[in-house]
Amino acid sequence: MSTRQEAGFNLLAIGLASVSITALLGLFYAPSVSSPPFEAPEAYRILFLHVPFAWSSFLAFTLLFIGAVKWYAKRDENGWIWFQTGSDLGLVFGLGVITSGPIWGSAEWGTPWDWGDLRLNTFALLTAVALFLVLSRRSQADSQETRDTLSAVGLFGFALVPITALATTWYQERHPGVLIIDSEDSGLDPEIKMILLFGFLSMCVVFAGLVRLSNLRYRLAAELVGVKRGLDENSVAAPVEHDSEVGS
Amino acid sequence: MSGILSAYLAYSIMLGLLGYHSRTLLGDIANLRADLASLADSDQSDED
Repeated sequence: MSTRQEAGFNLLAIGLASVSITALLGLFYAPSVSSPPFEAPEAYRILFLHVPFAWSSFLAFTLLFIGAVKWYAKRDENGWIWFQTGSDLGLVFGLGVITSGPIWGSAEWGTPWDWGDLRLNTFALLTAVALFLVLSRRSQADSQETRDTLSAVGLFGFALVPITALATTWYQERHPGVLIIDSEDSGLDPEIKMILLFGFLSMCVVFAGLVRLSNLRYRLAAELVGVKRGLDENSVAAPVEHDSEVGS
Repeated sequence: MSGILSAYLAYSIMLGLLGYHSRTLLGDIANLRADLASLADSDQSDED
């Protein structure tokens, strides 16, 4: 196992163990909340993973954006690797958010989705962009034109990140506002805040491990393509050399 | 569905996604390494 893979694997293992601890703390240690204001007080425990998932998805989309810019600016192979990793992780974390959110919504609001809520819809669109990018990368030939097109989609898609992140401040309908920062509208029990922050740190470690491993995967894939291309060129060149030897 | 059941369901989905993606990632890395090693071996045997 290479050092890079070992580091990625260790980060992932530590992160997953910490996320599991967060889940256990969220289910069995976090204090119950009162009802009202919560309609389904026990369902709030979903937020201990839902919120770190959402934050991590924004990190993934930022990675995707940086990768797209690097690809456009320098045609940098590393930029494309970051782009691929960002879109994969954006999809994984995005799917986690848009499946767990409606489960909480069903329990708390009585409806899984609110088509009038800006944050819900922009986040769903963001996840749809990640899905599009992942599926397009897998179905299209890996050419410079494909990379240019997908990077352009990724760049424009990233515009949804600040809109989604700030939507609850600008235009709050159903989705709760910012949880961690205490304000007149929100304030968290210290134990709840501690578990939420621990969950976020754990998810950051998982994220770092996944980024390292994913970058390694795409580097190995690029290396494999290079080796195969080299072998193809050698096998085409070999008969020509043979013919020239016969001719002389 | 009760609140705590909702939490269990959501946790299962989110942890399942992380587990599935991690497993796929490690499997892909192992396969790519094996492919590279077999190509290196075949290239070496061609040279011999």
